[in-house]
Amino acid sequence: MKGYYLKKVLSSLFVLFIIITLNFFLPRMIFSDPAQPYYAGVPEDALALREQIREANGFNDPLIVQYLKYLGRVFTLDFGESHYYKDSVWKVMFSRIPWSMVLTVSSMLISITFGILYGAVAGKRREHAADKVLLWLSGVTTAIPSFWLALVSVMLFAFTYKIFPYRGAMTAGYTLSMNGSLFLIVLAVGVVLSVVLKLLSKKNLCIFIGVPVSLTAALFASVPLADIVDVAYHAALPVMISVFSGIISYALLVRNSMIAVTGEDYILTARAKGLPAQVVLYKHTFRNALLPLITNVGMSMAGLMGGSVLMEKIFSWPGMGQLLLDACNNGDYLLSQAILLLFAVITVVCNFITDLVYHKFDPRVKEV
Amino acid sequence: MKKVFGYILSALRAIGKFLWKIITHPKGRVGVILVGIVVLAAVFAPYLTPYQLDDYDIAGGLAKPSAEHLLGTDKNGIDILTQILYGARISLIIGVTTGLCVTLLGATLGIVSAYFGKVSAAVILNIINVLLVIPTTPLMMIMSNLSSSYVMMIAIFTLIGWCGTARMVRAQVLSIMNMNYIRAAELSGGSKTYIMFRHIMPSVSHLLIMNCALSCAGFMIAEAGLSFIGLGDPSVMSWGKILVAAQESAFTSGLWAWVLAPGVAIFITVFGFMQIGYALEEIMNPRMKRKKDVKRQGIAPEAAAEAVFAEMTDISEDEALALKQEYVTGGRSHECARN
Repeated sequence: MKGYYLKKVLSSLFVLFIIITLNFFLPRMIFSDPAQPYYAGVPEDALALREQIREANGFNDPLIVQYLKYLGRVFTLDFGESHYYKDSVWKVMFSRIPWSMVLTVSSMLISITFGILYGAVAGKRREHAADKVLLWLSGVTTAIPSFWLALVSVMLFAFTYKIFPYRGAMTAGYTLSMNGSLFLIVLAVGVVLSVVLKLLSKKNLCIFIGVPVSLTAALFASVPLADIVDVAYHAALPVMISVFSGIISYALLVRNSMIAVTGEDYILTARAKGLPAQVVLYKHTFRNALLPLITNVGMSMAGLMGGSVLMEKIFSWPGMGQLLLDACNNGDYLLSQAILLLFAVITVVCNFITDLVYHKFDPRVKEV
Repeated sequence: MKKVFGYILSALRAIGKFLWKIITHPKGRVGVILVGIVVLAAVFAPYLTPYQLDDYDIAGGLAKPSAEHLLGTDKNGIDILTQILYGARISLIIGVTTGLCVTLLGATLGIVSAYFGKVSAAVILNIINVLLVIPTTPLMMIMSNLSSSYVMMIAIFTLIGWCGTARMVRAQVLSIMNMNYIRAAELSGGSKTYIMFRHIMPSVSHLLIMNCALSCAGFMIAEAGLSFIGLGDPSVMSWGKILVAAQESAFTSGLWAWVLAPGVAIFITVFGFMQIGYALEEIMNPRMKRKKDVKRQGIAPEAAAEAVFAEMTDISEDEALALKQEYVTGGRSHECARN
């Protein structure tokens, strides 16, 4: 078992190394002069000044020296300064991550909940109306690009009927006022409380429910209610669009794995023991059918902070996807490097956690 | 000369037979018709519309759909229908080329990783693992700055997209690798490359063809998305680009056709390719054949089973009887047990 995780950690580090290398070489392939962002305000013909800047930032060193220097900077988590926002890359990124998470976390929670419910219904009664509708919908939604669906709904709900706002995360002119210290205090109290409860009652459920509840409590305690309502109002339309395709894909997954599990021997055993059909369905079939969901949720966890570029672009949502897109368009490569690396780290960590969780839930998966 | 002619004729006949099979399949028929319409529209775009992509007419801009402009015009007075017809070209080119490239690369690497020894397997599997973990969308966004030409887009899609196909092909090849006909080919002295192309490739071809059709559909959507966020080729018209322009000015002027038409075009093309893919899966995978085929030969299923059992020479008569009871008279034996 230990060997398996060691191998996994090594391969994750390898992936990060490749991303760092790509990060180093891609800007040098894209820009004819990689020092371009450093020339802010320097006129085209001030060649001597430009040369000075190149020299000062180490662009005249041999490539291998530059590469090693870059590695050193990455290991000290020094990503430099974004040339477009004139601010530290860390600051710019962390001002955007919460906004992405507002969209992705809420839409993921909603689509998982309803997806499981719908999938269970469809898998229970195969070939019935719910199942047929699900199959038909999954065929149609894979053929419809979700960004087009978003465009049509913006036109319908925001322009023709004016029910929802169409751009931004808050009404223009407003900014979110958040009491950071209060947020942290309430969150810490909630987490400690749920850990204590878990130790007292020895039930993992305490942590699974306690952490989200304390997070919500901290949010409501630190942000004024009017702001929360405003953000929710702006997030409603994008969340609804992503939930629509999310529910269907999760439901299809649950439905297929329900059907696969129904054919297993242990279901036959449970039936043969004479258990009531309801017990077999909920205790034996349904619980096992949720196993593949772990992998899937783990994979999409990685996208939580990344957000969805298309949704964020359509709704002008100030999230990470939009930030990366702007960074690409502005040639702000210090920022895009940091974002890509952050995404890669998140993906690798999420993969690792998914693996651990899966082993915990499904003891059949042993060393590979 | 006559021989060559004969080969060509038989190849043409085989292709015709294959097409006929797709057309007679209910899903395939829908797919072929939809894709056919789009292909014809793309090829004959200059003859189907009297307008050009550079017919600027600022005064007639943002027009509602009319007899002159069936879907209206954009901000610069360019006919939307013309844009959609020309956009079909780039969508088809990128979708089909990428689908083919991904399938070919994935199939070759998948087979090589399964069949050509441990070193190649380790290398390819490691690359696949890396590609599966790398966040592809951000990487694609950054890489598309390399060059904005659509050839670059195809290359990026191929470089990032082949690993799914390779994994699927590898699994399939591993399951057939130890079958007797592969062994026989090895024993009779076939080289690994020969066996790979002559024996293994055909046995996974049904997967490949299906996968090709489905990934064409997927990459068309991806292309529309990328050109929507402004990373497409600026010199060619694409459906994603029409939608960008529509987002800028169609909303406020209520031009529904401008927003709806590109989406419908994407849907028709992608749905058509998907239907062809599903039809191919059913046609080419013998396990998914419907029972109708047994009946069509004029043999009742039970009689067919009898014939099969009669040909089984490697089991004893008792075993054959037991099998027969299990499969042929299944229903009745259950009744006997209950009594």
